[in-house]
Amino acid sequence: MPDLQGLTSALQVGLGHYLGLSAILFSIGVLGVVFRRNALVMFMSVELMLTAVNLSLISFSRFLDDMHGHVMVLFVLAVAAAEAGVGLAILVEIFRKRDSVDVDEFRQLME
Amino acid sequence: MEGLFFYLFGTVAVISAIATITRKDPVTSAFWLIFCFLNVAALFATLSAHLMAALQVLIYAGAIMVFFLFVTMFLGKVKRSAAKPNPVLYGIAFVTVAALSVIMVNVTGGESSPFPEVGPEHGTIESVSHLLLSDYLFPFELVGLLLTVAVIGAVLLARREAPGSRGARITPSRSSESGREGAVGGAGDA
Repeated sequence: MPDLQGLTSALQVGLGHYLGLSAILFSIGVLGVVFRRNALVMFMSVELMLTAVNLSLISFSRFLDDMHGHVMVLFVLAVAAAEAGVGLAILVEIFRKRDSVDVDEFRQLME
Repeated sequence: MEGLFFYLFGTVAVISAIATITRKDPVTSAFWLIFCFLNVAALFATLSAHLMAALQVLIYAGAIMVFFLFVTMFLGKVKRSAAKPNPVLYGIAFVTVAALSVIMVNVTGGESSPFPEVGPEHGTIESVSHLLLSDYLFPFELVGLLLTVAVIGAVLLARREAPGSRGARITPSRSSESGREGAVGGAGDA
């Protein structure tokens, strides 16, 4: 059955496929940080970029049959949680002072 | 079979990521991002990273995104800036990001080497924790310290100050600063 064989080889994925997908997700995250002016959505885009990096770490870990990438992903998760906590606390404080989370409004640190 | 899952979850992840950055409402964005994280967790599972898939669902799609949603809903309806974006700057930014993504996809996704077979212990809780508590013991403890510092910092930052409480920290110190400066200026005048 040549058709089935062609389909199977087309569906064969390797390291490059996962890394390409990771690069696409990372670029979407960069686009979000660059183009959105809402600080909340910018934070979400940063999380998206971190997840894309996690995907590439896991792919390399699978490719090299080496568990060190998984430990690195665990650390990235912890740092992302810390970053989200402190960042959103700062955002809440700014919102109380400015009544806005639009980064175009943030021109100075102190008022 | 693995390829089928890759294309399925990968396509949905990319679509929901695009939806995340294009939706106007941050709450809608957050829900799309949760969906994207769930699909990435499924991709982790296809890479036999079972513990990481579970943690992606529990920590990212669960804890962190609930935190985002909580803050988004706490802030309520936010007003948008009246400032018009500079189209030239946006054009430059778009071209730069597009070039970056094309380079990254070309470099990383050029030739695709197939994954080798791995043993059944790859990605299990046991093997990850063996590594975590032997080779990475010191970084592991540091992460605990980091999380503690982050929690204390977040509480200090987001604390609402009662009037006249001991915790009121910025306003009095600044007024005393300006008072001292005024006194110095007065002395200079005299």
